[in-house]
Amino acid sequence: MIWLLNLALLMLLVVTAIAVVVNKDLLAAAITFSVYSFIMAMLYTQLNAPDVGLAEAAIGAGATTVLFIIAISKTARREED
Amino acid sequence: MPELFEDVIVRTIARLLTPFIQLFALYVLMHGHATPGGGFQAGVIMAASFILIAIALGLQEAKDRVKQKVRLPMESFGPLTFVVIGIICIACGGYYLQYTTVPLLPSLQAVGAILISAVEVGIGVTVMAMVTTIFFSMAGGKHA
Amino acid sequence: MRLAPLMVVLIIGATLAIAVAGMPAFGSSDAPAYTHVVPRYLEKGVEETGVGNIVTAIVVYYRGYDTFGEVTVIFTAGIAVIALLGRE
Repeated sequence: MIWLLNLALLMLLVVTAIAVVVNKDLLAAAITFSVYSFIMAMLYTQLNAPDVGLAEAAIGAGATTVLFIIAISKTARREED
Repeated sequence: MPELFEDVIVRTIARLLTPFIQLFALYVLMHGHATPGGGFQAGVIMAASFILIAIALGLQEAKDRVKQKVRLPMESFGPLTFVVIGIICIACGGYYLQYTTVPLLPSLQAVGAILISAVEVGIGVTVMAMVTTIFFSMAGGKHA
Repeated sequence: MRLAPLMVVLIIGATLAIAVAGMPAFGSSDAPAYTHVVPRYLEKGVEETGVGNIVTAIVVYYRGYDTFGEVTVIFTAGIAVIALLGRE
């Protein structure tokens, strides 16, 4: 049954990755990217790499998102075409 | 940061949660030789606790907890630890960073574990200081 | 004009898909990455380094130079941020 969880996580990963690229609202894209990092951390843990999962959860979902949001708050929120 | 987030629930929870996050960071650091974790992860978790303080309780509060005078020297702690321990290893007749040559304790494994933990502490201190410094530098600017 | 980038993407994607088919099976233990130095690390790691977590043993002991370089990169990044964005 664990393959079902893996399949769901991988499909959600693809969906969030596309959503990050497509979204014009940069704040929403940053939040979605943190979701992407968190799914990635779960997948790393599932692949028996808890070290990498811990680093990904702390850096990707935590620190990087905060830095993105600070950068957005100092510039524009909407992406221009 | 734009403005302080004035909400009593957020402020109280952040104040209560911070020591536990920092304790978990120390656990990840000191048990890095036995359980998953290590310097990089511990440093980032420790920095995340200060980022939480800065977001919930204000940037000045976080800056008071890790003073700039302490933080900037801490940033060079990791490379320094590597160099000092590596040179100690050379002085004891081994190669650079060959920890088990240091005749500190009778058991070579114990020496390896102690020196590897020391190097991990150096890495963690550097990463913590670096992430908090980048965050404070970006958040504390004049614009916006 | 938008056809050329699409063709490039499709060709690169097809090449990568063909290359993936030639790789060892997912998680197989006889992949080249697991047969070169990994068995020695797993057998001798604990007695040579004294730490139980083999990831830490590899990162800090066997690949100590790499980690030293990594920490130096982080140190340099911090210095660059301080130099560019000012001292807060």
